[in-house]
Amino acid sequence: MNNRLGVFICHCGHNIAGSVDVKRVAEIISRERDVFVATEYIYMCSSPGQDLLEKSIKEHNLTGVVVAACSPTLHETTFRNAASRAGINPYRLEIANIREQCSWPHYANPEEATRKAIIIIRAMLEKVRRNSILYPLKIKITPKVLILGGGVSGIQAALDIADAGYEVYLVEKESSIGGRMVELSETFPTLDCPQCILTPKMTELAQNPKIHLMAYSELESISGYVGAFNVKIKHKQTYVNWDLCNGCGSCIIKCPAKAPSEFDHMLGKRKAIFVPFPQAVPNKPRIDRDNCLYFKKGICRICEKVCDKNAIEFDQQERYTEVEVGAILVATGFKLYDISQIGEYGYGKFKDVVDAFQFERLLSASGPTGGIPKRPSDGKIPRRVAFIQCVRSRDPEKGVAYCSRICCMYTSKQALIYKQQVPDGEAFVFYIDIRTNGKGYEEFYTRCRDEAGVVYIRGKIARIIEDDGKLELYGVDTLTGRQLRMKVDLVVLAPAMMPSDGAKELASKLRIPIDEYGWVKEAHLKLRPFESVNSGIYIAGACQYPKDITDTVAQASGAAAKIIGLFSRAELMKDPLIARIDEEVCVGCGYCVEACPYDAINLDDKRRLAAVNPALCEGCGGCASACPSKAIMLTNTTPEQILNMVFHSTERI
Amino acid sequence: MLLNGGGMIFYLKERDREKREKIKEISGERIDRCYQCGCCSAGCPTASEMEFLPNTVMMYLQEGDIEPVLNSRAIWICVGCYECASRCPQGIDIARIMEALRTIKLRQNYDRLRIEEKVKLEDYPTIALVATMRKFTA
Amino acid sequence: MKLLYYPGCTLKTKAKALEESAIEFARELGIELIEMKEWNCCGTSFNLTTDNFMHQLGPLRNLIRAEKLGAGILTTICSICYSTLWRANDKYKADPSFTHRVNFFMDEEPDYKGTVEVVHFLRLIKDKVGFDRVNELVRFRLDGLKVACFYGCQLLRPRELAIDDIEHPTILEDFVASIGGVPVDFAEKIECCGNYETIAEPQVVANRVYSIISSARKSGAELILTSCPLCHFNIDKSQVLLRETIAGFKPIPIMYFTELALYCIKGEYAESSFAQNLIDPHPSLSRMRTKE
Repeated sequence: MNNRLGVFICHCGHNIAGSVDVKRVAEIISRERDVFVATEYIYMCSSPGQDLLEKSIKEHNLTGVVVAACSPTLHETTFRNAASRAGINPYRLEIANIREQCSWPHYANPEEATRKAIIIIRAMLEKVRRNSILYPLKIKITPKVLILGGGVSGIQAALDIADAGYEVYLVEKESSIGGRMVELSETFPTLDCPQCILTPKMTELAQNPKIHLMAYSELESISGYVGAFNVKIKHKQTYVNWDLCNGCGSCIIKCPAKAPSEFDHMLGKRKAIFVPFPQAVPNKPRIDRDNCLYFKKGICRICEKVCDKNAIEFDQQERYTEVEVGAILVATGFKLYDISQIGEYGYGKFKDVVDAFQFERLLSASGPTGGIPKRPSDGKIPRRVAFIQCVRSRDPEKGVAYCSRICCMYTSKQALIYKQQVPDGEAFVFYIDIRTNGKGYEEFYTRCRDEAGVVYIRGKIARIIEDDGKLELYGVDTLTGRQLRMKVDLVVLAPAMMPSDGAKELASKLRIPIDEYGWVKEAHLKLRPFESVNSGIYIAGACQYPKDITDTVAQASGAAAKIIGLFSRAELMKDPLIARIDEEVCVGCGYCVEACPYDAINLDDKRRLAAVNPALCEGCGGCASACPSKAIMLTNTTPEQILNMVFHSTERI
Repeated sequence: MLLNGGGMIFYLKERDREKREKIKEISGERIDRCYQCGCCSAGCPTASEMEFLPNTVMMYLQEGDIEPVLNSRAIWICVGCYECASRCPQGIDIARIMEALRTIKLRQNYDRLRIEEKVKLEDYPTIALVATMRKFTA
Repeated sequence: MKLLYYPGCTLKTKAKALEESAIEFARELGIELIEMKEWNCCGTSFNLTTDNFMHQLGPLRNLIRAEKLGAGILTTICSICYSTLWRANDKYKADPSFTHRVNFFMDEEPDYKGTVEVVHFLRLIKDKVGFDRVNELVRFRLDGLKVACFYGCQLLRPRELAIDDIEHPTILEDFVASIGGVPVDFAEKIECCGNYETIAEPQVVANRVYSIISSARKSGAELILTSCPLCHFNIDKSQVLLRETIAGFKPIPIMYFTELALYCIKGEYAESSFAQNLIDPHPSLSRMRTKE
């Protein structure tokens, strides 16, 4: 093919042009073989930039294009669409990344940046010269969604998607949905209680015929691809047949064995057969094997005797359900940093040093103390409470580097409610910075100081010791510049938010990337915040990073809209940049099957040939490098292309 | 006199870059990571003896106003017990910064005390004498 | 078991009781502490700058000589020597080019290869002998004597050299329990005693000691235990001053952990014990009885 190539160099304002001499690059590149036009423009992604691209393609009758700009994850699609509009095959356009890989890292060295930009563009020109004309693959979509996690984000998304008429499988690992939100006393800044605003949604969800609720269940395995995931769900043993159980609660009343309540964060008690809280959905009990007398000692079985429905099944086994879904929403939420790891605050051994969730339960009308906060040690009402912010948040040395975002606000709320419940009590908040960036948040914080009289002291607490039944704080007031010691009755810590237990394992099952802490990575923080990079897998809520309820619900509805959008199409277009097997050369050794991280290659034992499933292949190239007979090639990233790119990158300028 | 009465106002002059860099170099620490949580001062066992709390010292250094801390008593009170460094969320070794400040003074031929005038040597453990010589004399 | 042991200056002067009792105690445990030859000052206190090579000569020379003697482990008893040598060793291992430059100043010594490990005697007893063994050897019991274990700073910080948990250490308490004492917890056990400020700013040390003693007294302590000669000196001496200036101040005597252990095993103290003590520990120890 006779190539007629065009090169378009973006300034990206100062981002690229600040260090890369774009004019010189254009001039040098214009002298390259096959290049008919090489030009630069301030913002190639803008409307006039795209017009320039389209006009030039038509004017010079171009057959291939290199756009030298930012990372292809940002604007590859933008420019390929523009190329398509101008009449050339979109796969004949490539992005030369001269921003993230060139101008930014070499910002201080313009000469080097300019030289590198030329090299990168030359390499991409080599690629375009040999790029084939390709057409997108079409994939059928099963319009059902699997939602992992039944907290407020999972609930919101399930209702939104079901409202649009699509089926939802909601999988929750606990025996009730409601997540962390339902454990709260009240919510900031409106002081709505979750009983008022969340439990109605939970009931609505249970009654929606489009939603299949699978509580006390987990994702066992997954295969397939966007549009057609095959998922296997494990239903853990509840030892109660929920189909038979009518939720009368007789078994719970009669059960003689008690254990600390997880719902009350170990501050209250529950029975060995239990529902986590009265408004649980589904309102069906499960038996906790570790505390049940029958499982421990082989005696009792009272629950079985009192159950009219014969729903108790001590010999129940794990069950599995397999379903096909078109999309998956990850909404697995968060937990708090474990305060028993914090030495300077007593390793969780001081009973009156509690974490924020425990204090929520102590403030909750449905909590173990009926909403009047009492000390876990002696049941006395605390007259002096200290709240400590940023416990292992903003602490790259011993905890996590990030800000947990919600602690400033919930601490204000907790201090305010505490002052409402104990008007003669004193509340002190030890903080580093107060962050109130949300609607009504700053006003709420002011109300907490002004109306409730909460005292804010700027400075962190270095150490807590127990003394005479009180807690002594080793602190500082950095604003008056004084070291400070004080005795309080109760300390409430605001520990860092962390991804839920099991989030890492789940991410590896789903093959979605997570960051160093375990938060799920979004496809693009600003432009694609509802999706993971793995197509068909969406994210909502605090599994991505710390969020309050407002943001969580917004993201859940956003992700739901994305999923509804996906389902509204009958079939899906997929990039054809995948592995292809030369059947003449393949000997069926199966090395590629091992190498493929997406299970996209099958071995046909009869024909002794490997076959790529185009819907599953993500075009990573693992198989191509593993193939000993070089029978596999990646479309538009052939060995010939790569070698030529390397050759031209290493040429002297 | 009115002109001198304005002493309460702190006029931030050009930052003393040279000394700031010197402190960074001698201590090997990243002064500008400090975000003033105060954890160092909260736990310091001798902060009550200092006219500048450790976190205040850090602020002076960030502002580039080095002389006041160089001439402070605080830097000589710190004995490097490491409570601050072991709790700093930003991993700043404040004890090293205090040592760097002392070192700059000592390298200007400053003696914090003259040991022979002060004590009868045989009254003290050798470790105290050696440490005092090393930490307090040029 | 034979172990190479680094005494340091103070164990030969003001803290003879610590050295004598430690060697004798070790012998009871079946450990022979062999004093390394040609040792010099540990380099106290560890220099915290990046560019002071001269202050690194002392510790490096000690480590090189220990290495030459083929010691894998170099035992220290004094907390400050432990801290200084440990930190120096850590730095030399982490930064060979720095070590080479320091080494350059003393051409009579070979390069340090980093094969020595600096270990504190207490940690060594716990790991190599076990406190159970110590307990078996005990023949005299303390009869409920309440002992406050004072760690100070040098055994715990920075985190990397800590001989136990840095916020809530219990190794000394476990030790006390093994010799039959009743360890009492107190808030100030991990705080600094004022260290070498004892010469320049004795009032700072006195204030620290007041705080430490108040905290220990609250927990009912009758005796304070330490492994640091400077903590020993500061706490002992400052209490005399405090007794003179604060009405009603009740001092608590201080001893080395090795002295107490030796007593519980042999029923006698090291020859030099208490010679340096200003606050007499005998009243606290008077209740001790022979184990039936």
